Amino acid sequence: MGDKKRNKKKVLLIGWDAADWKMINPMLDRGEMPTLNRMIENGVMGNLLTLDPPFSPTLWTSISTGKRPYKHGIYGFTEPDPSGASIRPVHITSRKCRAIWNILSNKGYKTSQVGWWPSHPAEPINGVSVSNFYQRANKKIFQEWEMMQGTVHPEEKSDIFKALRVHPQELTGAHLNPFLRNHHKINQRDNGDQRRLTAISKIIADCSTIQAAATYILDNEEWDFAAIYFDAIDHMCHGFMKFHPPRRPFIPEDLYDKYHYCVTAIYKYHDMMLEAMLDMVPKDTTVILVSDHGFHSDHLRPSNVPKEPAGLAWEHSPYGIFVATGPGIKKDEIIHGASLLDVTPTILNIYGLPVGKDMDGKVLNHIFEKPRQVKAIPSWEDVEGNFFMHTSDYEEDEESARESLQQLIDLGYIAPLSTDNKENVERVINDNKFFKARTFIDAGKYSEAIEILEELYENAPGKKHIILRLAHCYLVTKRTAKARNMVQAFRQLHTEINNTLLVLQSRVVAQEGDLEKSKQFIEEAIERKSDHPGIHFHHGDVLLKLEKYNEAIQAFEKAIEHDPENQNAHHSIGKAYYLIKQYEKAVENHLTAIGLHFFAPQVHYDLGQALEKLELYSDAANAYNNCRHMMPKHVKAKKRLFYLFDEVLNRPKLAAEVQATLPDYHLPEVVIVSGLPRSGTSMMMQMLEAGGMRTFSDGIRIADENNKKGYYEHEAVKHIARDHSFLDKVGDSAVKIVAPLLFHLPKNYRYKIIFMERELGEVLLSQHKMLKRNKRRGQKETFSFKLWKDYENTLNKIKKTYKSQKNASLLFVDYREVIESPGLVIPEIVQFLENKELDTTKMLQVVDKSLYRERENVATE
Amino acid sequence: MKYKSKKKSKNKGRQMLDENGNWVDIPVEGSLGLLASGYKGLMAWREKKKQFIESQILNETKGGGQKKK
Repeated sequence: MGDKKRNKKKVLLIGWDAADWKMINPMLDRGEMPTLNRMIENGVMGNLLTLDPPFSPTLWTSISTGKRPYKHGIYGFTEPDPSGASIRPVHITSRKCRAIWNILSNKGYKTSQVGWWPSHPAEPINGVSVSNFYQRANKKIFQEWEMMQGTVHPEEKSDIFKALRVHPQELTGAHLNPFLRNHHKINQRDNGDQRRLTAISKIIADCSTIQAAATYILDNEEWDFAAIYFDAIDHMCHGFMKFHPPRRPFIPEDLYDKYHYCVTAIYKYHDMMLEAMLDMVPKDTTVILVSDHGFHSDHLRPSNVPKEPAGLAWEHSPYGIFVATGPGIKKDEIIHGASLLDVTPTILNIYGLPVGKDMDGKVLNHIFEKPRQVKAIPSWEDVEGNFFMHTSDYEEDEESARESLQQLIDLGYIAPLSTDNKENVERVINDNKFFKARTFIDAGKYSEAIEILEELYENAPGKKHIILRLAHCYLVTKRTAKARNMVQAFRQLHTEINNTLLVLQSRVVAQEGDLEKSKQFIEEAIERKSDHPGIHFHHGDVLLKLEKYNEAIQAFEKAIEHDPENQNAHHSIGKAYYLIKQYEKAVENHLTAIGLHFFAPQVHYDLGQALEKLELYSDAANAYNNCRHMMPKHVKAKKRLFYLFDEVLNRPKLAAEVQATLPDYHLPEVVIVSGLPRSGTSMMMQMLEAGGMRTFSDGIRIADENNKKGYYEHEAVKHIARDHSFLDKVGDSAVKIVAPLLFHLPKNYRYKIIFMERELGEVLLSQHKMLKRNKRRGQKETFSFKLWKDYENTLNKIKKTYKSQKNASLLFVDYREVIESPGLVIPEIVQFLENKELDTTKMLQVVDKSLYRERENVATE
Repeated sequence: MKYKSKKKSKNKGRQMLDENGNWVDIPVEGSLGLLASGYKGLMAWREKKKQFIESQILNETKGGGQKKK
């Protein structure tokens, strides 16, 4: 790569952790951030949607990779060290994929980064890397301030950067006073004031260190891409946002007087630093300024944070900032729908490089004056060559990071350590599992989240934060009985009624079908404390289900009044207006919801429906198209899109393209009931038969003590591996095929599979008892652990296989839920089979609770 | 306020120009503007502090010598 190419494109990516438009906008109006104002006038600005959990190391890694945390592997602030004996701040060596600076290095670009969280030990990129352990002063000013091994790459430049560090004790009143009001009132003998001054000094010194290193690189090193990260806004907000105006009644007036300007001042300081950087870079540099999340600065500031791992992050708000200027970028425009996952794909596109299809973000094409061509490859992870990363045999300095842990403890991100290292390691492992579950929830991958949360719950049943997330996942996946169990678990922890419990109970009873009771719970919560947006949203949700549309709209509006950025509330208002046939208002609200959070497939689908009603067919097609790209399995969106292209818009080529992605409707359909033996498959067959569906059974295996109402089997099914011709004879009957045989299903049929799920312990115990009754086994009282694992593997394999199959759809039905709440499960089955002729009353009558024999046995054995 | 660099000269040490090309009087106690300007501002400030301390020592030495005299 010659200098000629290097000089063509320069991108400067600046990160301001926790920067928030709610703080910035009034400052822009007052002229207090002139540099940022100029940048906005010459470029685009917008919200940048964050991810959950909103933890900086996790989010900044998503920004630099374009991937969700379960792909990049950074879940929290800490991790066990390589020996597993102790814990340390999270290291870049735990990142499982390539970052933007690795890809650009591979492509020959001169690439530098400073302070990214995490970036220690500094990666051997094609430029300069200064790790996030660089700026922390851990010694008094008169003591030797060593720099950790691995802080700077290339190592020979270490001395240059060592000299550019600013020590907090080097600062004077001239640096601190701009952050304070009434500084003459500060009593340095007072412990509180002393602690706060120390914190402010550290924050200013740390970001001044980053600024010094960054400006040195921009001025003296060759660079095509540079990423500079500042954590000071976040740290100042965590320490001092509580003193920010307006003063809340519980904040002492004297502290407010002294510290209410700190947050404003740190923003002003960042504007000054930004000015210096912009002055240094060539005029045709693309400059992108982002924050990973916002920070509540108004009435949404929590008065306290929940006691859960990294609970401090509750102070964060879901929208960060995005500003971009440079060649080809629009001027003075607001953009919508950007996510922090989009930053890396967009930068790759600026350099003309393809996006990895395994990246979760998209190119922000709408920031450019002219739409750009987007190239893609399956994955950058599969590309051969040097990506300038640490090799697997890189030896890490285990001792180096210990002192940096204290910083995280001081900030409140991690709890103080125990003297027992083993306990610390276990806590960190469990916390990271919890965070990983949250990343799955955030991505709508509830099954994966449930798997982790159930394990955590089993090991520590008394953790409220796990119970609440698990309950949420069960509710979303319609496992109502299990959600009900979580209500009981919550009540065991909290005997007193509180709003969290009331909201949870309201959601559970709503799903159980008792909407009036649900409304009562939520209204009780409103009476107790009405200023929580979640409560009004759930109230609206219940009213919507009760078909009280106007009241629902009022409730959602209250939620929005409290938090104008509540996307779900805007979406729900849109749904309510659609139902009362006010389609224009429906469109308006869906568009607002999409503006807040673009990656919301269901909102795009609902928008499409409202647009269709307004006969805006091209726009509707665009909305459905967005939906299907975000959620390729959204069959309804694809069906509507096909209809519009085929019959309304006269676009046969596009119609054919959509049709190719739809299930093959010309193939014959077979309804299958499946599951492990003894998981309730016979009961389901019996229910379908009672409902009026025919069953494919030869009656050879007759009812016995084990299956008192019959087996509903067919001998031909057992030989499916070598002969599946019987499928032609199944017709519109339901056929029972046990789980392991599903892998032999041929591809020339469409399948609707009702898959029975039951606790594996219950299944094995039931099988064991059946075999014992049949005298096929001795008197052995325990069942095989190997069999348990085999079954578990089979189930996982089925889920994995059928998730991606175009010609099969699966409905997972929980056996216990059928027994306990058949009234809830049966409508789902009817909907899944798209067979409204099924007699649900007769199906309900078949469910026999006395058949549930193993439950108590399992519980006691 | 923004600063532009001026390379170290033998007589004046590290100095800075403001955006209008005027010499900036670097305060011994430093300023946020200097830190915000990056490594140049930091180095100029440290240089100023060093010069100031050296001059103080020199003055003290001179003053002390006179007293003795």
